[in-house]
Amino acid sequence: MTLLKRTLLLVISLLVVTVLITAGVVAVSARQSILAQAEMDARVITQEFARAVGFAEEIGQELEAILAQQQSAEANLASLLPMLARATGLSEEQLKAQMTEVTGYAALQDFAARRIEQGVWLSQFVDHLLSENVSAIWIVDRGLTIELFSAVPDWQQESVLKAMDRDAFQTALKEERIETYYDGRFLKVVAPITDVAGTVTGGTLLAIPIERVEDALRQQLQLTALVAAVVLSVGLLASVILTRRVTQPVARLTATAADIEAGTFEVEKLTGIAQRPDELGQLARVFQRMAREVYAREQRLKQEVQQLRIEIDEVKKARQVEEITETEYFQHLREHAAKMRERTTGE
Amino acid sequence: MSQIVSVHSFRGGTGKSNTTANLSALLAMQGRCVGVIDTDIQSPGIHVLFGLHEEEMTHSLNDYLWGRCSIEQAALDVTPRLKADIKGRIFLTPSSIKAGEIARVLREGYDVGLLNDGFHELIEKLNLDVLMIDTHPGLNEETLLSIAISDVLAIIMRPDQQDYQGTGVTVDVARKLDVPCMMLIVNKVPTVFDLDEVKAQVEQTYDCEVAAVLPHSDEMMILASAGIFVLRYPDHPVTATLKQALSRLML
Repeated sequence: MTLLKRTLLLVISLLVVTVLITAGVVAVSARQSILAQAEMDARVITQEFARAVGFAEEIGQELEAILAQQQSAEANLASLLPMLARATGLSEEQLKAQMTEVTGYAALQDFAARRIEQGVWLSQFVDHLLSENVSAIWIVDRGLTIELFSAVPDWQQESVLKAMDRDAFQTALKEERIETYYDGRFLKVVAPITDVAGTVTGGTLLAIPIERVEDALRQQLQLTALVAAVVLSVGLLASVILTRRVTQPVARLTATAADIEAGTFEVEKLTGIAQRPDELGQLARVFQRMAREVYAREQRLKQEVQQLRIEIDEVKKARQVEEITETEYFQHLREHAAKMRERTTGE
Repeated sequence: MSQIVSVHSFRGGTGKSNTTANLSALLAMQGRCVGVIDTDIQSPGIHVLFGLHEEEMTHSLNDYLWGRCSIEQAALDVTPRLKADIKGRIFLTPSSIKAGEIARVLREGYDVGLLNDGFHELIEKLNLDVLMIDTHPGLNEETLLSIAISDVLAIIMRPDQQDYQGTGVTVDVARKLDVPCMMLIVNKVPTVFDLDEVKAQVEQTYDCEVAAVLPHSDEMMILASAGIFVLRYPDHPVTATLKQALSRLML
């Protein structure tokens, strides 16, 4: 594997790992903060709702008491009417008409009181609350008997409390605190309902769909993925360019070194790299200098090898040989040399 | 069949003794019985390479030539001195390095015929396979004799202007003496030269086969007169070249 490929692989791996980790951390923290926000919103809604219910029951009771007082006052007043009629001289017919008017009014008040008692106003309040943010509402008493249940039209589950709901209610009522938990595609929030004295009178459960939360999460994740992809593409492009910029001079240095080994001195090819102010430039300059020295030395050696010229003066040599061979001793040797050798080898 | 090998050079200092000693050692390592005789009576030196000191020389070639001993008495088995795994044996017949002896040779000369008899007697008495003659430089009578009776003549030369002419004369003279096998050994070649090119050029110039071209080696220089190179460096390229030279010389 070449230096370029190895460096590129390393840089890209690092880049991918870094970007993926960052994107993952961002996605997880975004999810957590979105969920936390949704949960907090739900708690606030539920708590406010529970307070409103407690407060409304209080008002109902007070209204009832006021109406009762008014009724007794009206009864007293009615009982006084015959006496007053007699004193003022009203006929019995006139009195009867007056009485009917008064009792009719009282009957109307009685109807209003009954409505309050039946909690009709509460269902209206609850119906207002049901929306895309709240899918279902339960109100229970201390014994977890459902006093009221209301849900959006497309609610597909039973109104009966599930085991997890009962557990949550029990904890919430006992500890007097808000409980939250997930049930499928819903975030459920349980809050105790207290009266003015602070006594827990029951509890309420709100089912909040997490679809919208999930939508927000999906959007967040898509955005994160998009950003990661952009960062990765830019990073990959940059790493390819930068890696090439670093490894290309090394590749050229290597190629030049290989050329020199093969006997081709073309160090001028390195001039571009040698002008770089960094370590690679320094390496190229040192390399050029070295290569030129080697080249010069090689040329010098070649010249010296070529200078090996064996010069022999043939005329002088012939004369020198003759001086020896014309001696009597040599003649004698020459005649007997073969014989002498035979003597040796023959033994 | 015994062979006589003369190692000659026209000028001194070519590495003649060294080459003789190394070739002898290689032959002995092959299991041959080798006799080495130093006929360079005027300037002897090969004994140093075999680790022989002056005081250890009981007899020399000089003693034989003056009739003071037989030739085999002057031959000394130097094999154990080499301290190497040598299957064969090496007998050295040194020349005396005593100034008086050298002066007497220069003054009186000697019977060259006696030298010839000595060679043959040595081969016969010691039952030698090869007799290596380390000759005196130049072309005097005893050198011409050595050349004349040799089966193989190795002429050592250096790539040096001073050697070219004399080597040419030697080659021509030897040719007239019908030496059966004559080869050149180019020694002490500076590393700036291309060895193959030197070989080709020398062969072309003298019309004579070159048995070896030996580079001027630092190791060779250091060991030049202190020991035998092929024994010290058996795996050195120079050793390999010398072995090749041996086979070329048909030894």
